Amino acid sequence: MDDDAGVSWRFVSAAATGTSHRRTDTPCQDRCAAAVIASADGGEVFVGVVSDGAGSAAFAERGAAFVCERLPALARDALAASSDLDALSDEAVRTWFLMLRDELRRFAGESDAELREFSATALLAVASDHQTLCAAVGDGAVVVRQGTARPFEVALWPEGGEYANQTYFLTDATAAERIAIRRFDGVSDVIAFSDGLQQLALERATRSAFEPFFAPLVRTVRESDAPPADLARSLAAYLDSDAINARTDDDKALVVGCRTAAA
Amino acid sequence: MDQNAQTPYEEERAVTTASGFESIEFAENPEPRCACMLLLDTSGSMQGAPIAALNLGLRSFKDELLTDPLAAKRVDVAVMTFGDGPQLVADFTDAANFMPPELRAGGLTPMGAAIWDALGRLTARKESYRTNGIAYYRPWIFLITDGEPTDEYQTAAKSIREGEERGAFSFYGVGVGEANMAKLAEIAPPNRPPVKLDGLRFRDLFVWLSKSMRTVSHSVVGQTIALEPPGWTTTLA
Repeated sequence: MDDDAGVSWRFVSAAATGTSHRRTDTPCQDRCAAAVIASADGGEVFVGVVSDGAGSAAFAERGAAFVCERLPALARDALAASSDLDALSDEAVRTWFLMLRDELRRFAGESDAELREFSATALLAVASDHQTLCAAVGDGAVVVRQGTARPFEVALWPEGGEYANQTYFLTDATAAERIAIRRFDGVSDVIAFSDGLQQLALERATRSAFEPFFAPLVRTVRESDAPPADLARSLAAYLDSDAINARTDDDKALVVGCRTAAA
Repeated sequence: MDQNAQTPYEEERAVTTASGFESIEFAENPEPRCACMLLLDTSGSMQGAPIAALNLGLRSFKDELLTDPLAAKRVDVAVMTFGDGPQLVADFTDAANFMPPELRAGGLTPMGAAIWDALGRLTARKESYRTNGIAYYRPWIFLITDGEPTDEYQTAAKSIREGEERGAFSFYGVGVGEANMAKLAEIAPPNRPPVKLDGLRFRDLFVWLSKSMRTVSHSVVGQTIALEPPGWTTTLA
C-alpha cells in the first residue's frame, strides 16, 4: 500500500491466502497494489492493480508481484505531468501490458526459468476526477459506480474460456488479443478483485455486480476514519474470515478506490 | 436395440430439458459445478456380488463427497445405467442432494445407446448452467462395464473421442471381470485408455473418484490437476 494518499481519493487494498493454499502450504499467489498519483497539473489519479498468479506456475507469486509493482510505476510515469486520461490512449495501455510481458520474459531468463512459470493475470484501474480507464487480461473483475447514488456496474467481466478453472494470462502468447479496455466518465468508486471473490461479488445469471457485497464495502472505505494501514488490516482480516472462506478456498485480492470529492 | 438410424452426435442438436423450475436449484446453490455422469453397466452378468459391490461403491461415493463441504455443493452427479435399455436412474443433482440408487442387474448391454443418451444430457446440463449463470468445470463421464456393447456403439465411440478432443468432457472407462477391454479401448480416448478394476473393488474405485472430483471442484485457474494414481486397478495382460 502506498503512503502518498491524496486528498481526493480514499483507498485500500489487501490480499489473503486461500484455505486450500494454506492446506497445501502454497504461498498466496494473489497480489494487489493501490496508489494515488499527484500529477504536476494538480490533478490526482487513483491507480489500482490486482494480479492472480497461476496455480500451476512455479513462480506465480513473483509474476503477480511483478505486475503489481510495474503497472503502477508505468502509470506514474505516464501521468506525472498531466492527470488527463484523454491523453492516455488505449494503445499506450496495451503497450504497458505487452512491455510487462517482455520484462517478465527477461526476468524469467535471468532465473533460467520459462515465462510461463511466471503466469499471472493483470487487472488495472486508473481513475482521475473526470475519467476512468479499466484494463484487464484474464479473470477477476473491475466494478465501478458512477456516482454514490448509482448502482455498481461491472466494468470488465472475468474472461477465461468455458471452464471455471481456466483463464488467460498476461504471459500467454495470445495476450495481445486478450487485453480488454473500457473507459467511463468520472466514477465515484472503483473496485478490482481477483477470481477468488467472483463467487461472492458477481451475479453470473444477470452478469451484474452483487450490490450487498459492494455497498457495505465501499461505505466502510468511505466512512472509516481509521488510518490507512488499519483499514488495510481489517480488510485483510475480512478476506480471511470464515464467512468468506466458506464460499471460496482460493486466494483473494481486492482493491477499492473511492473519490471523496464525489461523496 | 437398433441404433443404425443414429445421426452423428452434435452439441448444437442436443435438446435442453430446462423446465424453469430447475433454476431454483441454482438459486439455492450458486456454486460452480463439476458434472459427473456415471454410466454403469447393469446387465444380467452383474447379478449377485458385482451389483452389490457397485451399490456399496455408490453409497461410499456420496459419503466421501459429503466430507468436503465445497465438493458437496460443486460435484453434480447423474447416474445412467444400461441393462434393460439405457435408463437415467438419477438426474443431475449436487452431491449433497444425491440419493445413491439401489441398482438391479438384468438385460443386455446397450452401451452405445447409453453413451448417446448421456452425451445429450450432459450437453443439456451445460446449457442450463449457462442459462442460469452457473460457472462450471470440465465434466467427467465415468463408464463402468463388465461386458461389451450389444448394440451399435461405433458412432457413440466417435462422439466420445471428438468430445474429448474438443475438451467438452473427460471420459474414463473401467472394465470389470470379463469386460471386453479391446472394445472399451475403441470407445475411450487414446490419451486415456481404459483401466481394469481389480476384482470387485468398487468401493476403492468410488473413493478415488470422489477424491478426484474433490480435486477438480477445488481446482483454480491455471492449475494442472494432479489426480491420485488409482489404487484399484489391475495391470492388463
